[in-house]
Amino acid sequence: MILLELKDVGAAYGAAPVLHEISFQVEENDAAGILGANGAGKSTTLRAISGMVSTTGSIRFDGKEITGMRPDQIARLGIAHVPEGRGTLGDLSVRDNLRVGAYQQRVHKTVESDIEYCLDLFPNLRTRISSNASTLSGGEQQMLAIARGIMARPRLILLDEASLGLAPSTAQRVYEAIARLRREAGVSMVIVEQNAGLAFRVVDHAIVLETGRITLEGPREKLMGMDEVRRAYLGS
Amino acid sequence: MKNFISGRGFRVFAFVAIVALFVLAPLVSTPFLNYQLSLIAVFGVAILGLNIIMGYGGQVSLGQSAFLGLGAYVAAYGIMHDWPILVVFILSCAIPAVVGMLIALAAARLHGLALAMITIALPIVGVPLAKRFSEFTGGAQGATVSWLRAPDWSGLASDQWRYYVVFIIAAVFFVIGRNLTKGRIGRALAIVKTNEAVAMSMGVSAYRYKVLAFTVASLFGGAAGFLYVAIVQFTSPETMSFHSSINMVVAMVIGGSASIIGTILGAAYLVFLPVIAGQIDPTQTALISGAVLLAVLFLLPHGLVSLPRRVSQLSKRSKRSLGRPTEDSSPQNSTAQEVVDIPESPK
Amino acid sequence: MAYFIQLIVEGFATGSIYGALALAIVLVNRSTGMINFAQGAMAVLATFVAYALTQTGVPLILAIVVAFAFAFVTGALIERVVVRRFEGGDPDTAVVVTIGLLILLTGISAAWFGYEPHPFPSLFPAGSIDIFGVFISIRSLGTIVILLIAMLLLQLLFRVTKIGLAMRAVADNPQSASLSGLPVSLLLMIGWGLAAALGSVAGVLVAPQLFISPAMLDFALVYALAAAILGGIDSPIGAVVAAWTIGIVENLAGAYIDFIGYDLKIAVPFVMVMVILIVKPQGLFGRKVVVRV
Repeated sequence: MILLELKDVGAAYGAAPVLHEISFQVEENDAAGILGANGAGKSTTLRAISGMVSTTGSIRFDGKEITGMRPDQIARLGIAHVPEGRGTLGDLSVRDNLRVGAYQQRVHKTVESDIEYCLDLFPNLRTRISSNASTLSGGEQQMLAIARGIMARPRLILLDEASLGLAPSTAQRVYEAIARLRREAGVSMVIVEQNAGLAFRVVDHAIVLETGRITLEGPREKLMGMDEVRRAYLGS
Repeated sequence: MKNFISGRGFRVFAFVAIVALFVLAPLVSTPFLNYQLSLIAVFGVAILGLNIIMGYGGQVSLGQSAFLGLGAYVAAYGIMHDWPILVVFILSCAIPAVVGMLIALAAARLHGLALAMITIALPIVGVPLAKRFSEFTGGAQGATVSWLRAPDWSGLASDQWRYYVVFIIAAVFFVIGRNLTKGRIGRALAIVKTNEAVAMSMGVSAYRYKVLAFTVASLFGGAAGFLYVAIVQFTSPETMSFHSSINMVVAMVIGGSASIIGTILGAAYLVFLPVIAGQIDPTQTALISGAVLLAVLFLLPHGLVSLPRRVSQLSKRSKRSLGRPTEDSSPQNSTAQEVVDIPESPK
Repeated sequence: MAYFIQLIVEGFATGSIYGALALAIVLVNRSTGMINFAQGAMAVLATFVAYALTQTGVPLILAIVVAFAFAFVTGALIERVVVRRFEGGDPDTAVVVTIGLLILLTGISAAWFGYEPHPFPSLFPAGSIDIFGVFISIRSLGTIVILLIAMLLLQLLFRVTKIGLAMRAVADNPQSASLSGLPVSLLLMIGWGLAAALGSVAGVLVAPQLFISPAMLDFALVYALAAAILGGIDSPIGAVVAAWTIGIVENLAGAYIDFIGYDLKIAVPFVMVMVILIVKPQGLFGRKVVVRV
């Protein structure tokens, strides 16, 4: 069943066009990757989906047209965007950050057990649960941002450059947790990554963007086998 | 036609025409109009000083009226005691400058809000002090000085003579101000305004430039005080009031901050708005002033000086075909990609 | 000695008025990053609404409740319609926008009621109670108690309730908060509405003493600004403590230091504020701001 569908989506920053005719699909329980170099338009694609950028074309989530909706409206439909730069609420404690993530949940008990799950997924956060989020390291903040997204019990997670600025071992740990989340919760994902090797641990298929256009796409096996992809992205 | 307007020749022509206008105006206008125009020069100098610290320097100052008032009191005192006018002028500039410098030396390391609060304190403390030290200031009634009458050889009436004196002095200050802001100091202030930490790494001491800017602003304020007494022939504690400081900040932003022409437009706004609002309905001046102020801010957030730019922007947009993916409906926001409803994180 | 204690209690009372306004200023600054110079004028307009209602025979308590609700709604609307587009932009322009609101709202009050002061009924009975030989006016006590209750309610709101958490999140990072589904626009409006309502409390508390007029809170506003900044602009408790200190110092200096007397006593808190800020720039309770380049 198709959960997310982009058709001929375009976006521009002011007068400069950044995305051209982007079309792809994500099915339920599916994980798709968006790969490409810096400035290719990967993050803009996620922002287009979560409503942070206005777009042309059509974006449908669960059959419903979501272009033109506000980000908080889109989030309430079940899309959790973990943004580039993490969007940490620095003045709030780690626990409060997680509570914000669970804002739409009505039942208090599920919030508590969800927090438990997140702390199990990211044990580093457990000792820092009462600290101000701004005092966390880069890796911990990334984990917190992902956990905050999980707290919303979303149907679709948009993950933007989760490995950015992280030491390789930390990035590995983050992606192991994401892979585990995928297995246990079955939530659909769209993962933007410059580091294709990390992305392919989780995603089944991917598109490759170059200056705002899709230049390659296909299942993991096919892409990993291609020389261009290996040379440009798997090495990093 | 467009080329003609943006061409260099036109600019020179416009400049000469405006100067000629200013030189000839007092000969044909009423004393009242001359008075108003002279006040524009007076407040122009004060607002220019304010612009240097606030518009160019990025530091909010709500105390400019304290320096204007201090300069005015120095001038009034000196005139009343028959000191030579040149000495009076120099002291009217120097004493507020020294006071401003001392305050800045103590306070310039503070972050923006704290320093702004200290500038607020200046008029608040100044007004009761002015009332208290009545031997120097004439107390709550203020000090009246009758001076600067037109000499016989000029063949001018007093209001015309004062207009010219004040305009020439103001013009000198504007030239100085323009050179300061276009030169090295102006560039350093721009860096400090954008990001103090970056300025430090470039060897630009934010502290030193803030002290400098504040001293210059106070000096200009004091000079404006001298000019004020020249035109109004009177000063009182009201001149130093917080209310007056607020008016100057409003005028600066309305005219266009960090702009020389904007300063003049702001001074014109300051002088003429109460008159116009009073004409429309004297009991509703506040209501009208507030509405006009908000309207200008909505339509021209960068001030009146940005009017030509805005008009050309709007005409370009209507010529372009509709249906561009991102419509920038919030002219404030330089990040056009963000959906307008949600403001950037407060800094 | 009794006189001294009386002065201190009176100082607490006037300080509470400044404190209520200061709380409103802190609230607006935390939620939208702006210093609202019109906070006093907004409060005065709401107080005038209460005044108008009492003139038509409505009981005072009801009039105050209506004024409170009016302030909340007006504050929220002002944020959405006037202030919203200037948030996150040039701070100088933002300051002037609030000054424009100050002028406009004062003008509305003046157009409606004129500039002369009018008497305003008091919530509290006149008279004092005798505590160990010190006579403390009921009005002062009542003012202090109401401020304390307001502070407590605000603390509860922000620390315990979900909506308080949401407001804190939006104050921290509105874009990120929206990605978690928080209704950012609504929460910004609530911030301003709540602040305006707080201000209206200050207005109705002080109006019986000062007589209501469009400029009634102009002076209190400057004190409230000083208190907010002195307390560290993001600290509600700091703002109130600073406000109390200002109220007390003003009273004591005016009474005890001869050369200051009545006319200069308004200057004393500002000199104090200047000295404290120079010595401790982040204010009494503020956090040191670490600037990341």
